[in-house]
Amino acid sequence: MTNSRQVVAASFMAAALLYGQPTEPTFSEGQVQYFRSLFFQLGSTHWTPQLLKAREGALADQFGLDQRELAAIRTAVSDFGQHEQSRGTVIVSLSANKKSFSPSDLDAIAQIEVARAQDVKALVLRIFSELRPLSAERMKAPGTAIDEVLKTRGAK
Amino acid sequence: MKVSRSALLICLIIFGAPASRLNAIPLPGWFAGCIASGTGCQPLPAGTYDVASTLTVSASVTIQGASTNPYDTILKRAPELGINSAIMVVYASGVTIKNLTFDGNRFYSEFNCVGQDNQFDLHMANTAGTNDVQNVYLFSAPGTALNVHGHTRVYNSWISNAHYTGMHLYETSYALWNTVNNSGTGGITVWGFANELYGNTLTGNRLEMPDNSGGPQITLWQGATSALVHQNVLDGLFWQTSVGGYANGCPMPINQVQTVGGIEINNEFNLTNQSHKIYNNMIKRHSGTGILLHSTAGITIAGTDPLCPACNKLSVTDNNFNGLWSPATTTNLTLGDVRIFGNRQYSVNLQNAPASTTAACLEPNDGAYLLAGVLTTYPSATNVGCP
Repeated sequence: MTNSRQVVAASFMAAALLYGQPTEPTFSEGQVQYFRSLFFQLGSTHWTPQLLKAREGALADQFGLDQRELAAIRTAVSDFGQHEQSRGTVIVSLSANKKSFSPSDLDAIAQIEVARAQDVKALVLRIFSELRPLSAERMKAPGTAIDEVLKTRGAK
Repeated sequence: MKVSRSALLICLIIFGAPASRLNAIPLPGWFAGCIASGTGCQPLPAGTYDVASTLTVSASVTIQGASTNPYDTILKRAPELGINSAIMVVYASGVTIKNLTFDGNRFYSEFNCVGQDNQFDLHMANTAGTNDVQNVYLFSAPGTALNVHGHTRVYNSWISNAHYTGMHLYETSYALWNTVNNSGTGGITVWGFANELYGNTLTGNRLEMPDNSGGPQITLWQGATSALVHQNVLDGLFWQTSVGGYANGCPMPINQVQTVGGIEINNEFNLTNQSHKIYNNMIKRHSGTGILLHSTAGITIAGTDPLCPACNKLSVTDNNFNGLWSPATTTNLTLGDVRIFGNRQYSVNLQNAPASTTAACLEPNDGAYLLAGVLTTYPSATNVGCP
Protein backbone atom coordinates (compact mmCIF):
# COMPACT_ATOMS: atom_id res chain seq x y z
CA MET A 1 0.00 0.00 0.00
CA THR A 2 2.74 2.41 0.97
CA ASN A 3 4.69 1.99 -2.26
CA SER A 4 1.73 2.81 -4.45
CA ARG A 5 0.88 5.71 -2.17
CA GLN A 6 4.39 7.04 -2.67
CA VAL A 7 4.02 6.82 -6.44
CA VAL A 8 0.62 8.52 -6.39
CA ALA A 9 1.84 11.28 -4.08
CA ALA A 10 4.92 11.84 -6.22
CA SER A 11 2.75 11.99 -9.34
CA PHE A 12 0.50 14.60 -7.74
CA MET A 13 3.43 16.71 -6.72
CA ALA A 14 5.16 16.38 -10.08
CA ALA A 15 1.96 17.36 -11.87
CA ALA A 16 1.57 20.35 -9.59
CA LEU A 17 5.10 21.49 -10.25
CA LEU A 18 4.97 20.97 -14.00
CA TYR A 19 1.54 22.19 -14.83
CA GLY A 20 0.30 24.17 -11.83
CA GLN A 21 -3.14 23.65 -10.38
CA PRO A 22 -5.63 22.14 -12.81
CA THR A 23 -8.41 24.56 -13.72
CA GLU A 24 -11.15 22.06 -12.87
CA PRO A 25 -9.97 19.56 -10.28
CA THR A 26 -11.78 16.29 -10.09
CA PHE A 27 -12.35 14.38 -6.89
CA SER A 28 -12.21 10.67 -6.34
CA GLU A 29 -14.54 8.65 -4.13
CA GLY A 30 -11.95 8.66 -1.37
CA GLN A 31 -11.58 12.42 -1.57
CA VAL A 32 -15.33 12.97 -1.36
CA GLN A 33 -15.44 10.63 1.64
CA TYR A 34 -12.63 12.50 3.37
CA PHE A 35 -14.15 15.95 2.90
CA ARG A 36 -17.65 14.75 3.77
CA SER A 37 -16.40 13.33 7.06
CA LEU A 38 -14.39 16.49 7.66
CA PHE A 39 -17.45 18.68 7.10
CA PHE A 40 -19.58 16.62 9.47
CA GLN A 41 -16.83 16.60 12.07
CA LEU A 42 -15.97 20.29 11.97
CA GLY A 43 -19.66 21.20 11.81
CA SER A 44 -20.42 19.40 15.04
CA THR A 45 -21.38 21.52 18.00
CA HIS A 46 -19.73 18.93 20.21
CA TRP A 47 -16.49 20.93 20.14
CA THR A 48 -15.53 23.49 22.70
CA PRO A 49 -14.16 26.64 21.04
CA GLN A 50 -10.66 25.70 22.22
CA LEU A 51 -10.83 22.18 20.78
CA LEU A 52 -12.32 23.33 17.49
CA LYS A 53 -9.55 25.88 17.13
CA ALA A 54 -7.01 23.13 17.81
CA ARG A 55 -8.70 20.85 15.25
CA GLU A 56 -8.55 23.58 12.64
CA GLY A 57 -4.96 24.25 13.64
CA ALA A 58 -4.17 20.62 12.87
CA LEU A 59 -5.49 21.15 9.33
CA ALA A 60 -3.25 24.19 8.99
CA ASP A 61 -0.30 22.10 10.15
CA GLN A 62 -0.98 19.07 7.99
CA PHE A 63 -1.59 20.91 4.75
CA GLY A 64 0.30 24.14 5.33
CA LEU A 65 -2.87 26.24 5.11
CA ASP A 66 -2.91 29.94 5.86
CA GLN A 67 -5.72 31.84 7.59
CA ARG A 68 -7.44 32.76 4.32
CA GLU A 69 -7.51 29.10 3.29
CA LEU A 70 -8.81 28.02 6.69
CA ALA A 71 -11.55 30.64 6.41
CA ALA A 72 -12.62 29.12 3.08
CA ILE A 73 -12.96 25.73 4.78
CA ARG A 74 -14.89 27.27 7.67
CA THR A 75 -17.37 28.88 5.29
CA ALA A 76 -17.84 25.62 3.41
CA VAL A 77 -18.47 23.74 6.66
CA SER A 78 -21.07 26.30 7.65
CA ASP A 79 -22.82 26.09 4.27
CA PHE A 80 -22.75 22.29 4.39
CA GLY A 81 -24.40 22.40 7.81
CA GLN A 82 -27.17 24.61 6.43
CA HIS A 83 -27.78 22.22 3.56
CA GLU A 84 -27.77 19.25 5.92
CA GLN A 85 -30.74 20.57 7.85
CA SER A 86 -33.17 19.74 5.07
CA ARG A 87 -31.45 16.48 4.22
CA GLY A 88 -31.52 15.45 7.88
CA THR A 89 -35.21 16.22 8.13
CA VAL A 90 -35.95 13.95 5.17
CA ILE A 91 -33.85 11.09 6.56
CA VAL A 92 -35.62 11.33 9.91
CA SER A 93 -39.06 11.46 8.35
CA LEU A 94 -38.22 8.42 6.22
CA SER A 95 -37.08 6.64 9.39
CA ALA A 96 -39.97 7.64 11.63
CA ASN A 97 -41.66 4.65 13.25
CA LYS A 98 -39.95 2.26 10.86
CA LYS A 99 -38.02 -0.87 11.70
CA SER A 100 -36.69 -1.10 8.15
CA PHE A 101 -36.69 0.94 4.97
CA SER A 102 -38.93 0.16 2.04
CA PRO A 103 -37.40 0.05 -1.47
CA SER A 104 -38.78 3.52 -2.15
CA ASP A 105 -37.22 4.78 1.11
CA LEU A 106 -33.88 3.38 0.01
CA ASP A 107 -34.25 5.05 -3.38
CA ALA A 108 -35.00 8.35 -1.67
CA ILE A 109 -31.96 7.97 0.58
CA ALA A 110 -29.81 7.11 -2.43
CA GLN A 111 -30.96 10.33 -4.07
CA ILE A 112 -30.06 12.25 -0.93
CA GLU A 113 -26.62 10.69 -1.01
CA VAL A 114 -26.17 11.73 -4.63
CA ALA A 115 -27.18 15.28 -3.74
CA ARG A 116 -24.91 15.22 -0.67
CA ALA A 117 -21.94 14.05 -2.75
CA GLN A 118 -22.61 16.76 -5.34
CA ASP A 119 -22.81 19.31 -2.54
CA VAL A 120 -19.51 18.11 -1.09
CA LYS A 121 -17.85 18.28 -4.52
CA ALA A 122 -19.18 21.80 -5.15
CA LEU A 123 -18.00 23.01 -1.77
CA VAL A 124 -14.60 21.37 -2.19
CA LEU A 125 -14.28 22.97 -5.62
CA ARG A 126 -15.00 26.31 -3.99
CA ILE A 127 -12.42 25.62 -1.29
CA PHE A 128 -9.88 24.59 -3.90
CA SER A 129 -10.46 27.82 -5.81
CA GLU A 130 -9.18 29.59 -2.70
CA LEU A 131 -6.23 27.30 -2.07
CA ARG A 132 -2.72 27.85 -3.28
CA PRO A 133 -1.65 25.06 -5.67
CA LEU A 134 0.54 23.23 -3.18
CA SER A 135 -2.14 23.41 -0.47
CA ALA A 136 -4.66 21.96 -2.94
CA GLU A 137 -2.38 19.08 -3.85
CA ARG A 138 -1.68 18.34 -0.20
CA MET A 139 -5.39 18.30 0.62
CA LYS A 140 -5.90 15.53 -1.91
CA ALA A 141 -3.55 13.23 -0.02
CA PRO A 142 -6.04 11.89 2.58
CA GLY A 143 -8.54 10.94 -0.11
CA THR A 144 -5.79 9.29 -2.12
CA ALA A 145 -4.96 7.14 0.89
CA ILE A 146 -8.64 6.26 1.29
CA ASP A 147 -8.82 5.39 -2.42
CA GLU A 148 -6.05 2.87 -1.86
CA VAL A 149 -7.96 1.37 1.04
CA LEU A 150 -11.06 1.06 -1.14
CA LYS A 151 -9.01 -0.43 -3.97
CA THR A 152 -7.24 -3.00 -1.83
CA ARG A 153 -10.29 -4.23 0.05
CA GLY A 154 -9.43 -7.62 1.35
CA ALA A 155 -5.82 -7.49 0.23
CA LYS A 156 -4.25 -7.31 3.66
CA MET B 1 -41.14 11.03 26.90
CA LYS B 2 -38.01 9.72 28.57
CA VAL B 3 -34.95 11.64 27.47
CA SER B 4 -31.58 10.49 28.73
CA ARG B 5 -28.75 12.92 29.35
CA SER B 6 -26.42 11.35 26.80
CA ALA B 7 -29.16 11.20 24.19
CA LEU B 8 -29.59 14.91 24.68
CA LEU B 9 -25.86 15.37 24.24
CA ILE B 10 -25.76 13.48 20.97
CA CYS B 11 -28.74 15.50 19.76
CA LEU B 12 -26.62 18.59 20.12
CA ILE B 13 -24.09 17.31 17.64
CA ILE B 14 -26.61 16.51 14.94
CA PHE B 15 -27.19 19.03 12.21
CA GLY B 16 -30.75 20.14 12.75
CA ALA B 17 -31.58 17.21 14.95
CA PRO B 18 -35.29 16.73 15.44
CA ALA B 19 -36.54 15.81 18.89
CA SER B 20 -37.83 12.45 17.64
CA ARG B 21 -34.25 11.16 17.67
CA LEU B 22 -34.09 11.42 21.43
CA ASN B 23 -36.04 8.21 22.07
CA ALA B 24 -33.81 5.18 22.56
CA ILE B 25 -35.49 2.21 20.93
CA PRO B 26 -34.76 -1.51 20.62
CA LEU B 27 -32.97 -2.75 17.53
CA PRO B 28 -35.30 -4.13 14.86
CA GLY B 29 -35.77 -7.89 14.69
CA TRP B 30 -34.13 -8.29 11.28
CA PHE B 31 -30.86 -6.91 12.65
CA ALA B 32 -30.12 -10.13 14.56
CA GLY B 33 -30.29 -12.11 11.30
CA CYS B 34 -28.16 -9.53 9.56
CA ILE B 35 -25.27 -9.65 12.00
CA ALA B 36 -25.51 -13.45 12.40
CA SER B 37 -25.62 -14.49 8.75
CA GLY B 38 -25.69 -11.36 6.61
CA THR B 39 -29.29 -11.94 5.57
CA GLY B 40 -31.67 -9.03 5.25
CA CYS B 41 -29.06 -6.38 5.97
CA GLN B 42 -29.89 -2.80 5.10
CA PRO B 43 -29.09 0.61 6.59
CA LEU B 44 -30.46 1.05 10.09
CA PRO B 45 -33.14 3.75 10.15
CA ALA B 46 -32.19 6.95 11.94
CA GLY B 47 -32.60 6.88 15.68
CA THR B 48 -30.92 5.94 18.92
CA TYR B 49 -30.91 2.19 19.55
CA ASP B 50 -30.42 0.70 22.98
CA VAL B 51 -27.93 -2.16 22.85
CA ALA B 52 -28.65 -4.47 25.77
CA SER B 53 -26.48 -7.40 24.70
CA THR B 54 -23.30 -7.50 22.63
CA LEU B 55 -23.81 -7.46 18.86
CA THR B 56 -21.52 -10.09 17.32
CA VAL B 57 -21.03 -9.50 13.61
CA SER B 58 -20.35 -12.39 11.23
CA ALA B 59 -18.08 -12.50 8.20
CA SER B 60 -18.64 -10.27 5.18
CA VAL B 61 -21.41 -8.22 6.81
CA THR B 62 -21.73 -4.45 6.41
CA ILE B 63 -23.28 -2.57 9.30
CA GLN B 64 -24.28 0.98 8.43
CA GLY B 65 -26.44 3.83 9.56
CA ALA B 66 -29.30 5.43 7.66
CA SER B 67 -27.05 7.73 5.64
CA THR B 68 -23.48 8.96 5.39
CA ASN B 69 -24.24 11.38 8.21
CA PRO B 70 -22.72 9.33 11.05
CA TYR B 71 -24.92 11.05 13.62
CA ASP B 72 -28.19 9.78 12.07
CA THR B 73 -27.99 6.34 13.64
CA ILE B 74 -26.70 5.74 17.14
CA LEU B 75 -25.93 2.47 18.90
CA LYS B 76 -26.05 3.22 22.59
CA ARG B 77 -24.80 1.13 25.48
CA ALA B 78 -27.88 0.26 27.56
CA PRO B 79 -27.53 -0.05 31.34
CA GLU B 80 -28.28 -3.80 31.07
CA LEU B 81 -25.16 -4.30 28.94
CA GLY B 82 -22.90 -3.20 31.76
CA ILE B 83 -19.34 -2.12 31.01
CA ASN B 84 -17.64 -5.51 30.78
CA SER B 85 -19.27 -6.28 27.43
CA ALA B 86 -18.66 -4.49 24.15
CA ILE B 87 -21.47 -2.86 22.19
CA MET B 88 -20.20 -4.66 19.08
CA VAL B 89 -17.66 -7.41 18.52
CA VAL B 90 -16.26 -8.67 15.21
CA TYR B 91 -14.34 -11.96 15.18
CA ALA B 92 -14.66 -12.54 11.43
CA SER B 93 -13.29 -10.81 8.33
CA GLY B 94 -14.75 -8.92 5.41
CA VAL B 95 -16.77 -6.77 7.79
CA THR B 96 -17.41 -3.06 7.30
CA ILE B 97 -18.73 -0.79 10.03
CA LYS B 98 -19.62 2.62 8.66
CA ASN B 99 -21.71 5.76 8.99
CA LEU B 100 -22.64 5.17 12.62
CA THR B 101 -22.27 6.61 16.09
CA PHE B 102 -21.41 4.49 19.11
CA ASP B 103 -22.52 6.09 22.35
CA GLY B 104 -20.73 4.40 25.23
CA ASN B 105 -23.03 6.07 27.75
CA ARG B 106 -20.15 6.64 30.14
CA PHE B 107 -22.06 9.16 32.20
CA TYR B 108 -24.66 6.62 33.25
CA SER B 109 -24.27 6.56 37.01
CA GLU B 110 -22.99 2.98 37.29
CA PHE B 111 -20.50 3.39 34.43
CA ASN B 112 -19.13 6.75 35.38
CA CYS B 113 -15.36 6.86 35.94
CA VAL B 114 -14.96 3.13 36.70
CA GLY B 115 -14.18 1.68 33.24
CA GLN B 116 -10.89 0.00 32.40
CA ASP B 117 -8.57 -0.27 29.41
CA ASN B 118 -9.83 -3.76 28.50
CA GLN B 119 -13.49 -2.75 28.32
CA PHE B 120 -14.43 -1.76 24.77
CA ASP B 121 -17.29 -0.20 22.87
CA LEU B 122 -16.26 -1.56 19.45
CA HIS B 123 -13.99 -4.61 19.47
CA MET B 124 -12.50 -5.65 16.12
CA ALA B 125 -11.26 -9.01 17.36
CA ASN B 126 -10.38 -10.65 14.04
CA THR B 127 -6.93 -12.14 13.68
CA ALA B 128 -7.01 -12.59 9.90
CA GLY B 129 -8.66 -11.16 6.80
CA THR B 130 -9.52 -7.49 6.57
CA ASN B 131 -12.14 -5.26 8.15
CA ASP B 132 -12.97 -1.59 7.78
CA VAL B 133 -14.20 1.01 10.25
CA GLN B 134 -15.03 4.17 8.35
CA ASN B 135 -16.87 7.38 9.11
CA VAL B 136 -17.76 6.22 12.60
CA TYR B 137 -18.10 8.43 15.65
CA LEU B 138 -17.33 6.76 18.97
CA PHE B 139 -17.93 8.96 21.95
CA SER B 140 -18.30 8.64 25.66
CA ALA B 141 -16.82 5.16 26.04
CA PRO B 142 -16.77 4.09 29.70
CA GLY B 143 -13.49 2.25 29.02
CA THR B 144 -11.62 2.13 25.69
CA ALA B 145 -13.61 3.18 22.63
CA LEU B 146 -12.11 1.04 19.86
CA ASN B 147 -9.97 -2.07 20.22
CA VAL B 148 -8.47 -3.34 16.99
CA HIS B 149 -6.84 -6.71 17.37
CA GLY B 150 -5.63 -6.80 13.81
CA HIS B 151 -6.08 -6.42 10.07
CA THR B 152 -8.44 -3.48 10.25
CA ARG B 153 -8.43 -0.12 8.51
CA VAL B 154 -9.87 2.68 10.62
CA TYR B 155 -10.35 5.90 8.69
CA ASN B 156 -12.29 9.16 8.60
CA SER B 157 -13.53 8.41 12.09
CA TRP B 158 -13.75 10.40 15.29
CA ILE B 159 -13.23 9.21 18.85
CA SER B 160 -13.87 11.54 21.75
CA ASN B 161 -14.16 11.52 25.50
CA ALA B 162 -13.40 7.88 26.18
CA HIS B 163 -12.73 7.34 29.86
CA TYR B 164 -9.68 5.22 29.08
CA THR B 165 -7.92 4.95 25.68
CA GLY B 166 -9.32 6.17 22.39
CA MET B 167 -7.97 3.35 20.21
CA HIS B 168 -5.78 0.25 20.54
CA LEU B 169 -4.03 -1.21 17.52
CA TYR B 170 -2.51 -4.66 17.87
CA GLU B 171 -1.18 -5.74 14.47
CA THR B 172 -1.12 -4.99 10.76
CA SER B 173 -3.77 -2.31 11.01
CA TYR B 174 -4.17 1.21 9.75
CA ALA B 175 -5.43 4.34 11.46
CA LEU B 176 -5.80 6.91 8.68
CA TRP B 177 -7.06 10.47 9.02
CA ASN B 178 -8.97 10.01 12.25
CA THR B 179 -9.49 12.44 15.11
CA VAL B 180 -8.98 11.33 18.69
CA ASN B 181 -9.56 13.86 21.43
CA ASN B 182 -10.11 14.10 25.17
CA SER B 183 -9.54 10.44 25.95
CA GLY B 184 -8.90 9.81 29.62
CA THR B 185 -5.59 7.94 29.43
CA GLY B 186 -4.17 7.91 25.94
CA GLY B 187 -5.20 8.66 22.38
CA ILE B 188 -3.79 5.68 20.47
CA THR B 189 -1.81 2.76 21.89
CA VAL B 190 0.03 0.39 19.56
CA TRP B 191 0.88 -3.06 20.90
CA GLY B 192 1.84 -5.38 18.07
CA PHE B 193 3.59 -5.29 14.70
CA ALA B 194 3.27 -3.46 11.40
CA ASN B 195 0.67 -0.85 12.29
CA GLU B 196 0.43 2.47 10.48
CA LEU B 197 -0.75 5.75 11.99
CA TYR B 198 -1.11 8.26 9.18
CA GLY B 199 -2.61 11.75 9.23
CA ASN B 200 -4.45 11.44 12.53
CA THR B 201 -5.20 14.41 14.77
CA LEU B 202 -4.83 13.86 18.51
CA THR B 203 -5.81 16.68 20.80
CA GLY B 204 -6.04 16.90 24.54
CA ASN B 205 -5.81 13.19 25.29
CA ARG B 206 -4.72 11.88 28.72
CA LEU B 207 -7.34 14.16 30.16
CA GLU B 208 -8.09 11.93 33.17
CA MET B 209 -5.06 9.69 33.58
CA PRO B 210 -6.84 6.96 35.50
CA ASP B 211 -3.77 4.72 35.27
CA ASN B 212 -1.96 6.80 37.89
CA SER B 213 0.98 7.67 35.69
CA GLY B 214 2.21 10.24 33.26
CA GLY B 215 2.32 9.39 29.60
CA PRO B 216 1.70 10.40 26.03
CA GLN B 217 -1.05 10.78 23.47
CA ILE B 218 0.45 8.02 21.30
CA THR B 219 2.22 5.03 22.84
CA LEU B 220 4.22 2.42 20.92
CA TRP B 221 4.11 -0.06 23.73
CA GLN B 222 6.12 -3.05 24.90
CA GLY B 223 6.48 -5.60 22.13
CA ALA B 224 5.30 -3.28 19.37
CA THR B 225 7.47 -3.43 16.25
CA SER B 226 7.64 -1.93 12.78
CA ALA B 227 5.12 0.83 13.37
CA LEU B 228 4.95 3.63 10.82
CA VAL B 229 3.82 6.90 12.40
CA HIS B 230 3.66 9.81 9.97
CA GLN B 231 1.93 13.09 9.22
CA ASN B 232 0.01 13.04 12.50
CA VAL B 233 -0.70 16.19 14.50
CA LEU B 234 -0.49 15.89 18.28
CA ASP B 235 -1.56 18.96 20.20
CA GLY B 236 -1.31 18.64 23.98
CA LEU B 237 -2.93 22.00 24.72
CA PHE B 238 -0.44 22.18 27.65
CA TRP B 239 -2.85 20.02 29.67
CA GLN B 240 -1.71 18.60 32.97
CA THR B 241 -3.66 17.14 35.81
CA SER B 242 -4.29 19.19 38.88
CA VAL B 243 -4.42 17.99 42.45
CA GLY B 244 -8.02 17.58 43.51
CA GLY B 245 -9.29 18.44 40.06
CA TYR B 246 -11.88 16.84 37.80
CA ALA B 247 -11.80 15.96 34.11
CA ASN B 248 -14.68 14.56 32.07
CA GLY B 249 -16.54 14.55 35.35
CA CYS B 250 -14.09 12.15 36.98
CA PRO B 251 -11.91 13.03 39.96
CA MET B 252 -8.18 12.86 39.45
CA PRO B 253 -7.09 9.60 41.10
CA ILE B 254 -3.60 10.77 41.82
CA ASN B 255 -2.22 13.06 44.41
CA GLN B 256 0.27 14.86 42.25
CA VAL B 257 0.38 16.88 39.10
CA GLN B 258 1.11 14.78 35.98
CA THR B 259 2.26 16.09 32.64
CA VAL B 260 1.29 14.84 29.19
CA GLY B 261 3.67 13.94 26.36
CA GLY B 262 3.35 13.46 22.62
CA ILE B 263 4.75 10.06 21.58
CA GLU B 264 6.29 7.50 23.91
CA ILE B 265 8.17 4.52 22.59
CA ASN B 266 8.66 1.82 25.16
CA ASN B 267 10.91 -1.23 25.04
CA GLU B 268 10.57 -2.93 28.37
CA PHE B 269 10.68 -6.27 26.55
CA ASN B 270 14.26 -5.43 25.53
CA LEU B 271 13.76 -6.11 21.84
CA THR B 272 16.96 -5.70 19.88
CA ASN B 273 15.28 -3.99 16.94
CA GLN B 274 11.88 -2.37 17.21
CA SER B 275 12.11 -0.91 13.70
CA HIS B 276 9.65 1.93 14.30
CA LYS B 277 9.66 4.77 11.82
CA ILE B 278 8.46 8.18 12.97
CA TYR B 279 8.25 10.61 10.05
CA ASN B 280 7.20 14.25 9.96
CA ASN B 281 4.71 14.54 12.81
CA MET B 282 3.57 17.78 14.45
CA ILE B 283 4.05 17.40 18.20
CA LYS B 284 3.30 20.61 20.03
CA ARG B 285 2.09 22.20 23.23
CA HIS B 286 2.57 19.26 25.57
CA SER B 287 3.13 19.89 29.25
CA GLY B 288 5.74 17.10 29.14
CA THR B 289 8.12 15.83 26.43
CA GLY B 290 7.42 15.70 22.71
CA ILE B 291 8.94 12.28 21.98
CA LEU B 292 10.11 10.00 24.79
CA LEU B 293 12.32 7.00 24.06
CA HIS B 294 12.27 4.46 26.85
CA SER B 295 15.20 2.06 26.36
CA THR B 296 14.45 1.80 22.67
CA ALA B 297 16.29 -0.01 19.89
CA GLY B 298 16.23 0.58 16.15
CA ILE B 299 14.10 3.71 15.96
CA THR B 300 14.19 6.11 13.02
CA ILE B 301 12.89 9.63 13.53
CA ALA B 302 12.95 11.96 10.56
CA GLY B 303 11.43 15.23 9.48
CA THR B 304 10.98 14.16 5.89
CA ASP B 305 8.39 11.51 5.16
CA PRO B 306 9.75 9.38 2.31
CA LEU B 307 6.15 8.53 1.44
CA CYS B 308 5.41 12.23 0.93
CA PRO B 309 8.53 14.30 0.45
CA ALA B 310 6.53 17.40 -0.55
CA CYS B 311 4.21 17.33 2.46
CA ASN B 312 4.18 20.30 4.79
CA LYS B 313 7.18 20.16 7.10
CA LEU B 314 6.05 19.51 10.65
CA SER B 315 7.92 20.04 13.91
CA VAL B 316 8.38 19.02 17.49
CA THR B 317 7.96 22.38 19.10
CA ASP B 318 6.64 24.40 21.98
CA ASN B 319 6.58 21.50 24.43
CA ASN B 320 7.14 22.29 28.06
CA PHE B 321 9.94 19.77 28.67
CA ASN B 322 12.33 18.19 26.15
CA GLY B 323 11.55 17.95 22.47
CA LEU B 324 13.11 14.49 22.23
CA TRP B 325 14.28 12.72 25.37
CA SER B 326 15.85 9.39 26.03
CA PRO B 327 16.34 9.08 29.78
CA ALA B 328 17.60 5.49 29.52
CA THR B 329 19.87 3.58 27.16
CA THR B 330 18.89 3.95 23.53
CA THR B 331 20.49 1.91 20.77
CA ASN B 332 20.50 2.22 17.02
CA LEU B 333 18.66 5.52 16.94
CA THR B 334 18.67 7.34 13.64
CA LEU B 335 17.69 10.98 13.50
CA GLY B 336 17.23 12.63 10.15
CA ASP B 337 16.50 16.32 9.51
CA VAL B 338 13.92 16.34 12.26
CA ARG B 339 12.79 19.84 13.15
CA ILE B 340 12.93 20.11 16.92
CA PHE B 341 12.95 23.62 18.28
CA GLY B 342 11.40 25.99 20.75
CA ASN B 343 10.92 23.44 23.54
CA ARG B 344 11.37 24.60 27.11
CA GLN B 345 14.28 22.38 28.12
CA TYR B 346 16.53 20.60 25.61
CA SER B 347 15.50 20.15 22.03
CA VAL B 348 17.24 16.77 22.02
CA ASN B 349 18.37 15.16 25.26
CA LEU B 350 19.87 11.74 24.65
CA GLN B 351 21.25 10.73 28.00
CA ASN B 352 23.20 7.48 27.82
CA ALA B 353 23.18 7.41 24.04
CA PRO B 354 25.82 4.86 22.99
CA ALA B 355 28.19 5.15 20.08
CA SER B 356 25.83 3.22 17.84
CA THR B 357 23.49 6.18 17.73
CA THR B 358 23.73 8.06 14.48
CA ALA B 359 22.39 11.42 13.56
CA ALA B 360 22.29 11.80 9.83
CA CYS B 361 21.22 15.38 10.07
CA LEU B 362 20.58 17.06 13.35
CA GLU B 363 20.52 20.59 12.09
CA PRO B 364 17.76 21.33 9.66
CA ASN B 365 17.74 24.38 7.46
CA ASP B 366 19.09 27.33 9.38
CA GLY B 367 20.82 25.27 12.05
CA ALA B 368 19.14 27.19 14.83
CA TYR B 369 16.69 24.51 15.79
CA LEU B 370 18.90 22.64 18.23
CA LEU B 371 19.75 24.12 21.56
CA ALA B 372 23.36 24.08 22.63
CA GLY B 373 22.49 21.68 25.43
CA VAL B 374 22.34 18.75 23.06
CA LEU B 375 26.07 19.00 22.49
CA THR B 376 26.78 18.13 26.10
CA THR B 377 24.29 15.29 26.36
CA TYR B 378 25.05 13.76 22.99
CA PRO B 379 28.80 13.40 22.88
CA SER B 380 29.13 10.19 20.90
CA ALA B 381 26.84 10.90 17.99
CA THR B 382 28.09 11.22 14.49
CA ASN B 383 26.72 14.26 12.77
CA VAL B 384 27.35 13.85 9.10
CA GLY B 385 25.58 17.04 8.14
CA CYS B 386 22.32 17.91 6.50
CA PRO B 387 21.45 17.12 2.88
